[in-house]
Amino acid sequence: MPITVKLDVMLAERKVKSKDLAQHIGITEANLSLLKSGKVKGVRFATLEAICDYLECQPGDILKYEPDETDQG
Amino acid sequence: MQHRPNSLTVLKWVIYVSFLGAIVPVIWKWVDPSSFSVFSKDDIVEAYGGYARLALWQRFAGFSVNALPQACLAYALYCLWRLIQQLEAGDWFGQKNESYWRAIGQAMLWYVVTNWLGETLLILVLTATNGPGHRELTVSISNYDVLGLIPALMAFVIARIVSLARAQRDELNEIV
Repeated sequence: MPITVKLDVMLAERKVKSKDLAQHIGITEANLSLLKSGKVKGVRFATLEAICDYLECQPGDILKYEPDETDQG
Repeated sequence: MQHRPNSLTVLKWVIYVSFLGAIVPVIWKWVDPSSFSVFSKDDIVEAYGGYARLALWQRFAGFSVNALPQACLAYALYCLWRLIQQLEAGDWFGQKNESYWRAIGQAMLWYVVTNWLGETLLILVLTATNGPGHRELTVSISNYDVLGLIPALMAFVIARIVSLARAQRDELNEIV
C-alpha cells in the first residue's frame, strides 16, 4: 500500500511508550500495534486527532504517501 | 447477569406454542379422527366420504401428505429458535445467523410447495380405491399459497442483510 505509517518513528522521537499512547487515545495496545505495522484498513479522524494531540505533531508526521513504481505507468 | 431482551423470551414461547400447533393437530387428526372432529373438521376428507372408509395405507399416506408441510414448518420454527439463541448470546451478524435465516427461507419455501401439492396428493390418495372414472386429480392455487411465499422471501432478504452487515462490521473492525 502506498500509505505507510511512521508512528513507531514518532514514538521513538517523542520517547513515548505505546502503552501510554494507547491509553490516551482509547484503543487497545493490540490495535495500536496493528496501526504501527500498517496492518489496518483505515484510521478514524478521532484516533488521528488524539495521536497528534498526544505526540504534538501533524498527521503528515505519522502518515507518508509513497507511490508504487508500478502505479506511475 | 446478562441482559436478555424480553421480546426474545416472548418469541421463544410463541415458537413453542406454534411448534405444538403445527405437529399435534396433524397427528391427532389421523390417529383419532372422531375426537378431533369435535374441535375441527377436515373438509377434504369429509367431502370424500370421511375417515371410516379409508384403508390403513390410505391413512398412512394421508398422514404423510398432511405431515410433510407441517414438518417443514416445524423445521423453520426450530431454526428460528436456534436463531434466537444466537441473538441471546449477543451474536447478531454471525455466519450461523445467516445460515439459519437461509434455512428458514428454504423451509418456508418447501412449506408452500408441499402445502400446495398436499391437497392434490391427498385427494389422489382418498380416491385411489374408487372405481375407474371416480378417481380424482385436482390442482388448485389460492391466495393463501401465494401469501406463504412472503415469509420465505423475507427470510432470504434478512439473510442477505445479515451477510452485508457482517461484511461491514468486519471492515469496520479493521479501522482503528
